[in-house]
Amino acid sequence: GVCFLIFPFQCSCDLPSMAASTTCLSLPCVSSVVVVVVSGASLASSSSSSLFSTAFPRRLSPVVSGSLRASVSPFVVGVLSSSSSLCGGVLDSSVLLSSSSSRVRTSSSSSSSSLLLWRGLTVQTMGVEMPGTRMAEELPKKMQEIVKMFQAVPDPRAKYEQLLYYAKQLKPLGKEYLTPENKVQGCVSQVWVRPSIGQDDKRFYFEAESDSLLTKGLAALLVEGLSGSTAQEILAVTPDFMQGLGLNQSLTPSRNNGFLNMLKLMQKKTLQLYMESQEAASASSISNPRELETPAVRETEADAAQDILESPEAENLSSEDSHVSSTRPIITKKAVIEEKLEEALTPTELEVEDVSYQHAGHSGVERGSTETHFNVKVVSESFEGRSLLKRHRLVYDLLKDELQTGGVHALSLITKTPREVTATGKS
Amino acid sequence: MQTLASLELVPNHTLRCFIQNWCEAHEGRAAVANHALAMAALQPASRKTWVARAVLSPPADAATGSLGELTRGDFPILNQEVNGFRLVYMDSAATSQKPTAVLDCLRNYYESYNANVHRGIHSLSARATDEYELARKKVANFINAPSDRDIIFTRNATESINLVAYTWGIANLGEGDEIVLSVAEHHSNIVPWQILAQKTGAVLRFIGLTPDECLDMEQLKETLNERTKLVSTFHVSNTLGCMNPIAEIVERAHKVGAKVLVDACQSVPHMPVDVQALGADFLVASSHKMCGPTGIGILYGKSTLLNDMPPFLGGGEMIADVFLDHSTYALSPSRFEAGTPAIGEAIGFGAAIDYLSNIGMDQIHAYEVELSKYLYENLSKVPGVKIYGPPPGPKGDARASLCAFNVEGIHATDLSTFLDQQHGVAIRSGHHCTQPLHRHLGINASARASAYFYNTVDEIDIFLKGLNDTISFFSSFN
Repeated sequence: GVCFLIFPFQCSCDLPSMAASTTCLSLPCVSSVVVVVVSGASLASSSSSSLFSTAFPRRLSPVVSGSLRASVSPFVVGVLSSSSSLCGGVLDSSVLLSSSSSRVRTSSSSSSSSLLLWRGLTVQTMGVEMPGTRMAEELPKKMQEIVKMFQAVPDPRAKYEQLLYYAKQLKPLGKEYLTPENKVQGCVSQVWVRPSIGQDDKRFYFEAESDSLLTKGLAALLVEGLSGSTAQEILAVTPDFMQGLGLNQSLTPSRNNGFLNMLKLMQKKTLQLYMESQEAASASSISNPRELETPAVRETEADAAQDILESPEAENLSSEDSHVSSTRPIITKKAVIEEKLEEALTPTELEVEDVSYQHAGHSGVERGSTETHFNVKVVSESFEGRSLLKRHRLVYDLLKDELQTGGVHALSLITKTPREVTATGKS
Repeated sequence: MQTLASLELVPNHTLRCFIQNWCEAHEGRAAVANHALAMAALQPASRKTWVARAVLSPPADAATGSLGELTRGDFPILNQEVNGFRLVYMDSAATSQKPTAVLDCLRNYYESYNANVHRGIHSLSARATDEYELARKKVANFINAPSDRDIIFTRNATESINLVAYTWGIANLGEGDEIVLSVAEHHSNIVPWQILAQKTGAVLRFIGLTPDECLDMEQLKETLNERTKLVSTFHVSNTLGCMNPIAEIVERAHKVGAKVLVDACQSVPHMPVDVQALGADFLVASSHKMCGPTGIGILYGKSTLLNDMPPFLGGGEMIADVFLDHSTYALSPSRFEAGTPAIGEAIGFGAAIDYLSNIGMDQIHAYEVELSKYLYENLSKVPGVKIYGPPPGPKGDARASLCAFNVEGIHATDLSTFLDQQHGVAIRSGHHCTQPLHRHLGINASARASAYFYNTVDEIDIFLKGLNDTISFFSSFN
């Protein structure tokens, strides 16, 4: 049977424990599928992540996992939410899940929400995406692991213990490095970071120190997560992932800013070191040395960082369309999306609408970022004979680059065949 | 404020017990709880009587509850949860909370008689002007200034000090003149003088602390000389909690021909302050630290001084006549109040003063002496704690109801974060705008818990319990 749990309120921290206790209750009723319906615009990523971690056997708190393991088949929870960015994440997860679903039920109430349910899927394939973790693919591997680990810890106090554990593990930084240049500004406590380049692998390593334990823990996260990465990987890290840790709710804004400033200082110093090493070395160690020399104006380090970051991106784009100039390609994501869908699906109708303004200010959306959310409507013959799931997955596959590295957070999709459109009489 | 005495009216014994138990469990919300709960339960006939009784019953006397318990209900903001815990607000030294009376006054101003002051003839403007000037009178009465013309409304105490520095300071200080401050001053009582010193060539002298962490009066005596033109110091320190003997300082300063400015931000909200008894030449205070709105503060100055001071900001209101090539200026206080003032806020400040006066500053001070003693004694018992400033003394009134402290081996920021996240207790950590003091004490930062008359001993207990839990949490990692 199917058991519906409906929480029509703004998501709060209590949700995971509520969900946990209710799922415990529902199991004896031999329901192998549980649907959790949550409506509310502000579904904070940490509570949603703990919700998911509570729902899935793999990372459960001991209380819930015991009873759930007693159940015969694992179950999957779908989330109905009026936040389209979360919905986009859920839809995205459908792409990652294996196709062993035996039954799919969809209901589309508004343009921004869909409810999807599967049976018999293993949790292993679940890489559920929440707004904060969408950026996870951009992170170095070690950072991703750390993010996942923190997400699996629902209790705030346990998160603190985890953080302090990291603080304890952090190697002390030599006194001679506690200089003003290495000091992080905007931190309520004192923090220093020091980068260095590995002799053999030319990758970047960090050390840090702080007088406050919690700040030291945060610094340790960054040190652990970023050490051993390349300059590109480090510079590609956006602060969004901090939400994924679920720590920002446990942190005051000033401390949060300290974390942000730590990351920025690490990135800035990485760039400095990198530039110095490039000047010293004759052979370039990045993929496209041309990009470093050609930009028209490079006034700030941010521009330089941008150039290094865009070298792989520029290559991708240049192979697909002809809009790339030798300096920075100015091309809208909307145009790229339209282009790709046109090419692959030859639609009779295609509408791509930029609705990022509706999501400005969402957690997980970096301030000032543009073209993050789109409404896409496609009417195409290619969808004939395909289930909704398959249609969405097709579109997502086509726009994989935009979603993973292009800064697009979510798509709200309407996928129809021409026949369906005329049948319903809607356009 | 209704008390349980009104419960006698409830006919049903079971119901009465139920209400009593409920109210005791929710102390502080007793007034609201009584009324609402009983209203729901009573028969129509008796409900009317209940309402009449509740409205007419007199405020409870001190015997039925502490000042904190009695006044809590007036502060709606205190009735909330943070991070799943009941809010315990121990940061009133940074800013105080506002009672419903002040909030209602602000709202009423904007709803009923908002109009520009001093200019219009029409009724609304006349009423606004009257209320604004009445607020000024209330301030003058509150600190016993000789005349309400001696009270200047500013944005806050910081602006008041800047006003003195840029007008009186520029006009009266020259090369080699000395300004005496202390190492424990708030930044707002240091930086304006630094800027003034740069402009005029004056010199700053700093008085240190005794081993007890009070102002070193001996050093002050030695530092005063005929070149001293101004002594500017705190009445009550926001970090050390110690109190300066202002009357004595004024006497000594006047002997050498120096003026005295008193930073009364932490004293006016907590105890009766009499500017004439102190003899201060200037005194500054902020409304937001004494249950009033933000954005309004005062400068008190002796009339003789104020009328000699050149203008601060130029513009409307502070003029007499304006020509193209020159203008003539109004007398004090208008001279220093350019542009449209924060009218609503000033009137709200007046309402705050009324609220405090109704309780009585002596009562408030007496209660805070108890809180101060309780806080200091019990905080000292926590192992590893170092509290800054002097002990409360035999009568308990030698320090304010605040404690800046450090716990050995744990950073102040860790303490305050954990207290907030895991206990709902709001304290401050950092340097509390007294960086030179922290350097003088040899520390990077400190935590500070400060109580006001709406805090209770129970809340201090919650804070201490939380602190102990925080310490054991962090200690287990070392």
